Parts: sequence; C-alpha cells; structure tokens
Amino acid sequence: MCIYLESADIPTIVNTIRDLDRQNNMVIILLAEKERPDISALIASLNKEAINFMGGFFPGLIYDNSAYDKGAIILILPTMGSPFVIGNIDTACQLPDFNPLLKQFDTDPKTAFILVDGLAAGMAELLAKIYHRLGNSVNYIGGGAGSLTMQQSPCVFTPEGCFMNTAVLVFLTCESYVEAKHGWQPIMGPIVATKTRHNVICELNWQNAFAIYQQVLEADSGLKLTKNNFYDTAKSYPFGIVKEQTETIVREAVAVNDDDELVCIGTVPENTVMEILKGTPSSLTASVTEVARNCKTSLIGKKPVQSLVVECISRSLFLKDKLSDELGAIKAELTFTPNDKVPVGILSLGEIASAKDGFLEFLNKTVVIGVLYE
Amino acid sequence: MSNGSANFDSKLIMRQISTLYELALSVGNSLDTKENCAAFFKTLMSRKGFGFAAVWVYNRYLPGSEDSDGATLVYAMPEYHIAADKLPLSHPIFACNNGMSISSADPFFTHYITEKNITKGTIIIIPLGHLGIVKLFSISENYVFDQIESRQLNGIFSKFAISLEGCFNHQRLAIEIEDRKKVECELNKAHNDLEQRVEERTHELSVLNQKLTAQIEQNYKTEAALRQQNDYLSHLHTTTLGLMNQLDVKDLLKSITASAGQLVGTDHGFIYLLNNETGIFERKLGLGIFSNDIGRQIPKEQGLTGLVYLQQSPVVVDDYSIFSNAILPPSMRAKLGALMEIPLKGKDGVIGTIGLAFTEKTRKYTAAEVELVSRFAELASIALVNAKLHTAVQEELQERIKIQRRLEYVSLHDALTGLYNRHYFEQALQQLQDPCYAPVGIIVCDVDGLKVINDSLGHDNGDLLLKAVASLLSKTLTTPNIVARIGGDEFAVILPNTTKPGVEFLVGVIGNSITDYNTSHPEFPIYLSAGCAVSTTTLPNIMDVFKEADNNMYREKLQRNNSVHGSLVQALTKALEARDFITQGHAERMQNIVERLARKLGISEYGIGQLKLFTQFHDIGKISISDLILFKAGPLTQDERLEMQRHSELGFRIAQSIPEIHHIADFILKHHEWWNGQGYPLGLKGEEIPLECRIVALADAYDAMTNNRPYRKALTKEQAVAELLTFKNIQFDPVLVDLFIEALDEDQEEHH
Repeated sequence: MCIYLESADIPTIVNTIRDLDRQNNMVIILLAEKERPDISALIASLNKEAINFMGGFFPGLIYDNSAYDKGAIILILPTMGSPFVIGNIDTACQLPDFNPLLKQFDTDPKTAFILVDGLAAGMAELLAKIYHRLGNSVNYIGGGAGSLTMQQSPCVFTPEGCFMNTAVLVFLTCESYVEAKHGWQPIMGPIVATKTRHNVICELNWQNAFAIYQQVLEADSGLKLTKNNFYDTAKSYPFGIVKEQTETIVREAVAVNDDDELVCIGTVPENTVMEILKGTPSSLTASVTEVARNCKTSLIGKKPVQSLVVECISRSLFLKDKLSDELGAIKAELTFTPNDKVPVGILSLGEIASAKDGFLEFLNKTVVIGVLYE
Repeated sequence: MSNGSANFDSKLIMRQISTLYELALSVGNSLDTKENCAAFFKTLMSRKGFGFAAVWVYNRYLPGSEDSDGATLVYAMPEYHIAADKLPLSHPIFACNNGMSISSADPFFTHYITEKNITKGTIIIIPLGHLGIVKLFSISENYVFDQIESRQLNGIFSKFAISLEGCFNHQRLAIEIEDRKKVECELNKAHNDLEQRVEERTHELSVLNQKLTAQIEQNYKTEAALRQQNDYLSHLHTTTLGLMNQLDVKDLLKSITASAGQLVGTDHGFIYLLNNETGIFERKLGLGIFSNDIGRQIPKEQGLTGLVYLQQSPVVVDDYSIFSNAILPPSMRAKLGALMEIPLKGKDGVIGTIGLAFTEKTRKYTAAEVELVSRFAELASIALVNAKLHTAVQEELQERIKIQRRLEYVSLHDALTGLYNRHYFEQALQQLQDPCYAPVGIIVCDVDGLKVINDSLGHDNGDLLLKAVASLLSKTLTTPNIVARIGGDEFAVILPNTTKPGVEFLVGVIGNSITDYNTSHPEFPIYLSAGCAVSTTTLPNIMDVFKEADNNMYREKLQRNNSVHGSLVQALTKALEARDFITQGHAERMQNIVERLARKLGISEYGIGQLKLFTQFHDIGKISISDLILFKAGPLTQDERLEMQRHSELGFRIAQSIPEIHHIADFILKHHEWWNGQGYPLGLKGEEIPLECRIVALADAYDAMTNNRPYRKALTKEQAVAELLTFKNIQFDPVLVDLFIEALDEDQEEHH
C-alpha cells in the first residue's frame, strides 16, 4: 500500500497513517527534502499513536510517474518487527544481533530494506559488514537519505529518533527481485585511484586527482572545468569502478575541495581501478528500461506486492526533464492494474542493491528497481 | 571478463593489468590475518563478482593449532555461509593441488560444499602454495575459471599466500610477544610484588630492627640487672649454704655478719640477739668499728634495734650520726654514715637483728641492697634457728647418751655396790668361754647373816655391809678380773687366765682382807663364805666351773655356819646393849626376877632357860628403832609412840631369822600385850597371851619403873609394886602380879 501526500504536515501524515489498514506491518515514511515537517515532532506524534515506523528525507520522491521535491510517501510493507538502528557508520559501527528478532517469526527474511545517511563516510564498510553477516540470504534494496545541499544532518528516523551517520534496516517477509543499472559508458581508463581517503579521491595515477579529472573532462567536453562549475560538468562524467562480472559501479564526484581533491558520493578504496564514464539520457533511459523489463520478467507467476525505485538524484539532475522518460519506462513495464501507482520511490544520495549474486555495493548515479512479491 | 581467447586488445589488457594491480596492492595490507584477508577478498569479490570466499589453512602452518592433521577456516566472507571451521585433510577440497572449479550442475558439486546455504553456482578452489586453499563461490553456474585467469591469479594468490604466512609469522610473533609480554608482565608484576615485598619486608625489618635494637638494649639492661642479681643471688646462695652448714652459733653469727657485709660492701656490722625472758637485745658480735662493742644490751623497744623489732622489717638510716633515736655513744655515732638494721626472725617473731653500717658519708643503701640483705637475713634467720636447734639437739643428745650409758651401766651393774650384776656376769661367762681366756677361775662368795643384819639392824646396815664386801672384793681383785654381785648376798669373781693356785691365793687374800676389816669394824664384822673352781681340760664348760665354785662355797658355808651364827647372836646382843645403854643391865636384872617367878610357877628348867633367853632378847626389835625416838628425852608423840611400838614386830622378824632365838620369836612379838586386851600389836587378852609374855611383861615394867629414864627418875619398889597392883587385871595377869610381888620380896630378902 502506498500513498503520496502533497502536504507533509504532521497531522496529515499521522491521520493518514492512523486511517490505514496497517495490520502488523510497518509504515515507511519517505519525506521530500523540501517543506519537510519537524521530524522530532513527527516522531513524537507517531509514537503517541503507537505506530511502528521508519523513514528518512531525500532530495526527491517518485510517485506514479512523477518526481516531487516536497510531500511524503506513506508506504506499508510486510516487515518483520521493528527497524534496526545501526549508528556510527562513519567510524567503527557494530551491527546489532538480528537473530533474536528474526527468531520470533516463522519465516526467514527475504529482503532487507535499508535507508542510510547518504552523506556519511564508511558506507562501504557498513555494507561489507551487513553482507558479511547476511551474505546472499536476502536481497538488499535501499538508498541514501539526506539533503541535496550536501550538508549532513539527521536524516533517517525510527520511533527512537532521527539520526545522522546512521542506517536503519528492516527485514521484509516478501520475496523480491532487485536489479541496478546505470547506463554510463567508459570514455577513459583504466585509471587508478592511487590515493584516496574514504570518499575523497586524492590522487589519480599518482597525480593530482582534480588535474587528471580536469584534463579528461576538458578534453572530452571542450568545456573549461573549474571548481565553480565543477558539478555542472562533472555530473556528466562520473567514475566507474571496474567489476569483471557485473556492471561497473559508478562513483560520482560532486565537488573539489581546497586541496584539489575530488569529493565523491560513496567510498573509493585506495588503488581502485576506475574508468571515467560518460552517459546520455538515452543510454541511461535504455538501462532503466532494461531493468524494468527484467523486473517484470521476474514477476511472472508471482503476486506483486510493491515495486520500489531508488534513483540517484544526480541522474535526475543530469536528465532533468528527461527523467520522466525513465519513470515512464518503468511505469510502462511494471503497471499491472489501472490503479497501480508506479513507480514509487526516492531520488536518493546513493543506492543500495544486491540480487543474491555478489558483493553488496553502494552505488551512484544508478537506478535500482526492486519488485516485492509473494 | 576474460573470454580465454587470444586477444591483443590493449585496452582490455590494461584493464586486466589494472585489476591485477589493484588486487596485488590489496594483498599484504595488514599483518593481521583477518584484516589482510578482508582487504584482499573484498577487492577480489568486488572486482570478480564472487559471492563467497573462504581461506582454509593446514593446521601444521597455523600458529597455535593443536590439531596438526586437519585444516582450519581462517577467513570466510560472508560468515553467513560458514558451517564448519575445521576439516580433515582427507576432505576433497584439499585434494585439488592445482586448483579446480566445479559447477552445481556437476553431480560431485556437493562433495565440495562445506558451507550452508550454497546450493547453486560454481565453486572454485585455488591452492595457497603449501599453506592451504582458497575456496571461492560464484552464484553463476556458468562461471569459467579459465587458464589465463588462473595464471593471472596464481601470482596474486602466491603473494597472498606469502602475505598470509607473514601474517601467521606475525601472529606467532605476536603470540610470542604476547606471551613474552605476559611473562614480562608477570615478571614485572612479580618484580613489582617482589619490590613491594622487599620494600614491605625492608620496612618490617627496619621496624623489627628498631624493635630488636630496643629489645637488645633492654635485654642488655635486663641482662646486666640479672647478672648483678645473679651475682647477688649466687653470693647469697653460696653464703647461705655456708651458713646452713654452720651449726656453731658463735661461728654462725660471725659468718652472717661478714656475709651480709659482703653483700653490700661493708666491713662494719653487728648482730643483736633477743633474750625473750629479759626482753633485752644483746650484741653478740661486732665487726669493723663494732668489733670492740660486744655485749651491749638494749631494751627491746629502744633505739634503731627497737624500731626494727617493733616494725619487724628493715630500717635504714641514711646518716646515723644525726639519727634522733641513736643510743650508741657519740664517739661511735660520729664515725657512722648510713646504717641498715634488718630483723632476724624466728617462728615467733624477731629473734635478733643484723646491723650493717657505712663509714663513708656518701654511701647510701639502695632499695635492691635492702631487699637483698633482707632475703639474706631470712635465710640467715633459718640458719640461726637451725644452729640453735642443733645446739639444743646436741645437748639433748648428750643427755640421752648419758642416760643411755647410765642405763647400760645400770643394766650391767649392781645399783648398790657398783659391781657388775648377774646379767653382766652371765654375759661375761659366755664370753670367757673362749679358749683364749683359759684357764678361767671363778670365786663365789656369800655374805653370811645378811638377813639377820637386815632384819635386826635394818637394810641400811645390811647395805653398808654389802658395800663393804664389794669394796673389799673390788680392791682385792682388780681388772681383768670381773667382780659381780650375782644375788642378794652373793658375789662372784671371774678370773680369766688364772690357774688354780692363783685362784686359791686370791681367795686367801680375800680372807685376809676380811680379817683386817673385821678388826677395824668389830660392830659389823663381815662373815663371808667363799668357794672357787678353775676350768680344766676335764672341766671345760665355764658354767660347770661356776657351779662347782658355788658348791664349794656352800660346802664352806655349812662348815662355818654354827660359829657364824653364834658370832652373830653375840654381835646382835652387843648391838642391843649399845642401843639400850640407858637400861644397861636391864635384861640381866630381869632374868633374875623372871627365873624366881618361873620357879614359883613350877616351870621346867628348859622352860626357865628359854624364858631367860626371851628376857634377854625381848627388846631385840629396838635395834631397828630410830635413835631420835629411842633416846628422846621428852614424852613421845603419838606417831613416835606407834613407831616405838613397832619394835615388837621388828623383834619378831629378827628372831625368826636367827636360828638360835627362832623359837622365842612369838614371845617377842607378844610381850607388850595387856591382860585386858588393850596391849599391842595383836590386842590379845587374858590367857591368849603366852605365860612367858605375861611374866616378862611384869618384869620389864617393874625394871623400867625402878630404873631412871631420860624423862623421869626411878620409882621405889613400893611405888613400882603399887603401880603393878594398879594395873593388875588391866595390864597384867593378876595371879602373876601377886606371885611377882612375892618373888620381889623373896629376892629382896635374899639380897639383904
């Protein structure tokens, strides 16, 4: 069950949720960054109603073929108990013991839904720990919350509060099919991030990262790349971390710091072999169409419960009005009844996806589509 | 993705090299096994798209592994798939020396699955040099691990194996370092503990040392005090032992005074002893400046001595020269400094005092010295009491010895004569039975007429006679001859080593001595019968010799008996006359008148003879009456009269012991009986009184009245006859009175 609220005021949210037939399922509250309510007050109000919930605010929301920069999406999903709060992911986070909760249920979890502070450092370590713990026993789908201003603040919440540098995870009882694609193509590489610091690329090929990046972009685009116009150009030239068996993982450089280092969304391990990518709206849309089609295929013979789209905010910024093409492609593939509100999701700061086929990665500039089914 | 075909796409090669470069750089990033594995496998899995990776290492290369035969899972990603972390080396996954890949489509796929939740995909096993294997899993069943890729990764895994070995070595080193750290820590702890203990112990020892030092100093002081005390006590002991052994009181007093002086280091001392009867202390001894002041007497409650007596405890005067109660003369007082006087105590209190004085004015007595001398005085008191007791015992002992000797003497001697007694005589006989004394002569003597003497002249005279005999024999027969009185009137002499002629000679000497004695003592002559015998070879038994001597004595006695008795009667008559000097001629005068009266009465001549004998000896009992009564001038008292009246009985006993007058003894007894029964001693009357007695009573009364007495003059015949008539029928037989008067008249006529 999914509802979009144009007005994300607390009474509306609370009243809407109160009126929903939630049964024992948890309420996922996805807020748009703009005009979002006071989250602490929202939490207090929801707690008063004894509502089991989790959520976050994001640069944008996707609902029924449209993207919104305000409002709220109320999503009822078949969850297993309360969400786990995993704090301090920027330092040395410790995973909670999932077993005591999971043992209360008759079935094993099938899918893990994760919302995470998208601007937090240590994302790769967090996902590695989660994968180490759970392996391919579940599918993973989720995305990074936060503000497009790149100013880090508490952005994910549960009845326990609203947190920064934190991930919230809830296990879903329904099966899923999850696939991620980005549609970006390499134009230069391989290039080695010979010196990195978490999500900051200091050197590329033992040279100043910005200088190398600048050379490549200026050579390809013919534009002058400066710190001031950096993102306008850079959003079209993300880095790709080379993977042999699967699609390249995109790392987007969003800024240049004072040391001429490239600040990315997502961790870039040192000595990572990368490529510089370039995409076009059509290539990106084509990739989304492929993913949506694969999802549709996976649902053959299944009873769909909910489809979820996690699309990187930078893709929407890159695509601009072409975003509707992507969303339309998804809607076209995954609409089964006239009343289906498809797609539903978030414009995120980084994406999380794994389809039982390998290592769990934090993605950038990618679309993740997950379909939940019974 | 490699496709295994020859491909010279430089871009692809660059990409492969870059990936290998990335993988190579992910190796050995940490010396920690898990971190090293995590870095490598995260990169590998990320780049190669593996869903699971595991590292199995043979235990023999694993640090700290106890089971050297198996293999251990040292790393797995994700842990979700971990099912076992130990496997035997016999497991198929360890048999792939060159590596392998197997798809779930292969029926043997499950043989290589040691994890959970892996059912579909491809397992790739890559050897890790000699260390073990790496197990990789791809979800894809179509994963192709081709030769090129295998060769590409071999180098990486070799490096990884080396880095892993480095990790193990590091781990070993870390373990060793940890162990060493632990050891070091333990050592440090032990060292610290030790240091702390040493410090504590040092502190304890320091404290202990201080205590010990203090203790030692205290011990030194105590030891010095004990040594001094011991010296004192030793001296005291030695001195006391010396005292205890001294039993002479005078010597003891000197020792006590000198020893007490030595205890405190002075030569000046004295001892007073208390005379309980007089209550006076007398200085019995003085030493030093007191040596010339002996015999001083002090009433028991005066002066310093008096204080000691009253307090019964020591009194110390620091300077006697200014002592207020001083009684010593000023000249003596001036010489004295401190003076201490200690009581000597007996069971009933103070028996004396010891005085000790210093002449040095600065010398004072300490409390310890007073205590010491006091203890000494207690012991000295015991010694003194003992000595006194000893003296008393000695005196008593001497007395007992004397008594013993006296008893012995008495038991062996005759009390009267001082000669040996019969008991000794018999012992001597036994002793002289020894042949060395042979021949042994024995003389047995018997005093004749002793009984007569005793009865007539009294035992005193008898005893004198016996003493005379004893003296005579003992003078005549000196040692070694043994003279003994063996019976009332029997003497015996034992003459060892004396031949028969010698014995006979001595018997003759005895006879001569008696003759000489009788010459000088005619009033009490000694009549001695003697018999002797000598042991011979035919008469060896000394008792037999004694019997023979005794027989010989009796034989001699029989031969001389008549003459002896005749001599005895004469002696008695003389003795009677000597005691009847006032009535001298009384008996003779009576005999005449009695004979005349007897004839008138027709008495036979024998009767007249007996009557005359009776008349002569009727007062024989008076020889035993005291001269004081017999010759008293005035009237006799009642007691004296009764004593005088005893002469009748005494005369009776004398007469009975003399054969010659034995038959008139009864007359002598009854010659003072009265006709009316008022006489004495039997109170007979009338004709119960023998005629002889009635006749002699008349004659005796008449003669008495007609002769002077000390207390009256003689009566005339007429006066006397008148008295006789007066006492006719009273005192006298009336018939006989008349006949007696007639006889008087006839006698008077004849004389005229």
